[in-house]
Amino acid sequence: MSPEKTNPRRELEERLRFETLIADLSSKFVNLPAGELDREIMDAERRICEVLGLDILALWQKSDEAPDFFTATHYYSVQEGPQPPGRVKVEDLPWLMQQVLAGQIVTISSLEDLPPEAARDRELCRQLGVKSNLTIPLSVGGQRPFGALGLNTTLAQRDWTDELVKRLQLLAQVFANALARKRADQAVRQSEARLAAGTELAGLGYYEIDYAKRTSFIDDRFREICGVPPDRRQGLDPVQFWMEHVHPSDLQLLLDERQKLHDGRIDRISAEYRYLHPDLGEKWIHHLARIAERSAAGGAVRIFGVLRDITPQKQAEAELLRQRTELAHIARVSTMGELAASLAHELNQPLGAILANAETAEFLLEQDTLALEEMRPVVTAIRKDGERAGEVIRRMRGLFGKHELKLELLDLNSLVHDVRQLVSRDLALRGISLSVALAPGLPEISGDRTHLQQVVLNLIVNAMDALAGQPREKRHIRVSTCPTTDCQVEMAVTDSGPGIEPDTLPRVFQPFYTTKPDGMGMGLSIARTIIDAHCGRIWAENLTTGGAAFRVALPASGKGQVARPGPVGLPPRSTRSPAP
Amino acid sequence: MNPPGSLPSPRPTVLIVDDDLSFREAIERLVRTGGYAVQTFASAEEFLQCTPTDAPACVLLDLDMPGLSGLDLQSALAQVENPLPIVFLTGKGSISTSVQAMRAGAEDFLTKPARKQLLFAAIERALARGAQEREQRARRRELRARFDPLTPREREVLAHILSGQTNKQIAGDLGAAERTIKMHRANLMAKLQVQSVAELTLLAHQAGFPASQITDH
Repeated sequence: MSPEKTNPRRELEERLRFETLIADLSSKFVNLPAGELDREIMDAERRICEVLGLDILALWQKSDEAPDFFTATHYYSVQEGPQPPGRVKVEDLPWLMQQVLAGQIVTISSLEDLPPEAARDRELCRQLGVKSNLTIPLSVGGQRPFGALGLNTTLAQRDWTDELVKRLQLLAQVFANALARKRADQAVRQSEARLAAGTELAGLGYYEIDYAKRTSFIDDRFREICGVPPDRRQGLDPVQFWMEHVHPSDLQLLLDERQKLHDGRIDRISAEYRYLHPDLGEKWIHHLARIAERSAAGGAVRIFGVLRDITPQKQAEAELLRQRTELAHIARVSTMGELAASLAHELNQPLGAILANAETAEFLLEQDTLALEEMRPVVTAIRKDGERAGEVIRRMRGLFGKHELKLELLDLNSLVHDVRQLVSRDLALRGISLSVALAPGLPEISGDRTHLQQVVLNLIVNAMDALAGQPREKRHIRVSTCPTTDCQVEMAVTDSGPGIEPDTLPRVFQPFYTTKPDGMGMGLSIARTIIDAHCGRIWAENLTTGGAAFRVALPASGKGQVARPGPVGLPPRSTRSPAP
Repeated sequence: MNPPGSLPSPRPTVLIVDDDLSFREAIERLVRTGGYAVQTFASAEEFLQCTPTDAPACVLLDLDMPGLSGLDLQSALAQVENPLPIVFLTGKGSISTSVQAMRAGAEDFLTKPARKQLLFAAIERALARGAQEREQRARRRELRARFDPLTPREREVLAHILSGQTNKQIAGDLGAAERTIKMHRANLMAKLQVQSVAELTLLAHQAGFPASQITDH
């Protein structure tokens, strides 16, 4: 088939218009907003058709959703104008698609030029009325083609000069770049949508702070979690608003962490703190933050992070703690029950003495002559025994009463001393000697006096029970305290009993595990719960000299102990639940 | 107050055993107001070191003490010749320990703090029982003294008589002539100032001698 007769002038005009079009389109597509792309491509297709005298221009793209099809996302026909997307099956144009995917430009001046293996392609082209075709693969950055630009004539055949093909290739690249940008944009938008869906599902509030630009961004959920007023009032910095509502006791810790992140000394924050929501009251927030971008000096230029409202979780924890406290109370009372001998005696002894003295006093008062010198020691004795009974009650009351966890600075030595007083009677009755070796000047610990007393009590009672079967001269308990090198305070209760069976050793702290016939199996388990709540450690071991040792290590109070949020740091229950 | 001792002169003594100094002093003062003499001991061991007498007395005993307990002391006291009546006064009473104490012959089992009336009533009962037992012991000692002049052979014969044997059986058992046995019987009945076997049996019973113990005496 011979091409159309050439007219040099017309050819020149056509070429000029085409060059102008290319320049125009190239500049237009460089900074085209994604939203205008489709319209502009269609328009460009129309103009190309007009300038080059083509009948149909189609931009085909392969999508991940339907890999077996090429979709004509932008289709222009001179006769029918822009058309809605249609698609073609890869297997219906097997040869052509193979060429496209291989990055080959296909020029067809006449369907007769198609190779024999393109029989199917030829058939389809015939059905569509295509006489000539130029197909240019679309790809960016040397990647696999994602589509193709197809230029067709249906009315007459035409030739595709190399020069024209080169020009059109340039145009195709302009389209490809714009489309690739849009595809990337879509992918970003999609992942943004996924992130949003994810943060929504996880109940996460998102924020970013750009230190360089001095800007910040918070999303709606962040706004909701922190109660940031919805319309950004003039000058309202959401980050500042947020910081102003962090619980004062927890603020310093958070600011310190933020500073460290800002300086690049740490690369992430993971913190839990109380937040005073302007409408909903006190909330617990879990906060994660990371550095998004660093300066050359290593400091953070931009950080981003997420917040989560963990109030329900904290309430559940508090409830659990309350139940544990309850259980601790029961266990304490039962431990005290085991000490009944000493307690009844401790109290009845002074009470018995008081009654006897009072009755003596009554007798003396009934006499005709009041013997003051006889009366005085009686009254003095009553007072002393009253004080003594009061002291016994003071020591017992703490351990018997129900009790919220209360942190205070404590001297472990004085705590040991108090418990020793409490058990001294039982020790004497059971013929057990107890020696103490308390390190002088022990660092203070931050803890709950009653609960820690209970731990010491449980360990001593436990040791006393372990000595039950021992001969009298081998019944000995030693309580010692000492500071450790890693800023902890250690207490050990060792006994001269038979020690712990090796296979029992791992289980001694388990609840309801007991080797005593009438034991509840709660003493050591409660002890561990209490020590855990104090961020300490409790463990048991057998001594090489025989007998067992129970050791407790607690962090010494001191610098760096500001408001450590955790179960123990929970404020009293009453402040969290509204009064009825 | 005048405790009903059989003799007017020695006031009955309350022996207080308690390891708690302040309680011991208080109860000592109170008991003294009742007109009793008081002796105090800080432990069961200390109590056991003092020489027992048969004077009118009772023990006011604590139960839980380091070392020997009140129950330990009670069983130790039961072994001596003149057991003293015991009133337990304890800071902590359980059913099992009180049953054990009462079964072992305690006069009463009081818990601290105990009112004066209860305490004094228990002391009185204990002293009364002590007096009664002391009288029995005195009478028994007196009756036993009558057996002292008997020769070993006469005791042997007596044991056989008390177990209901005839002269002939005794003679057979002891390998002696029936006539000799008759002579021993007449002698021992004269020494014991009894006229009949019935009287002899009663006397031995009152003196607290079962037949088997006569020869050991």
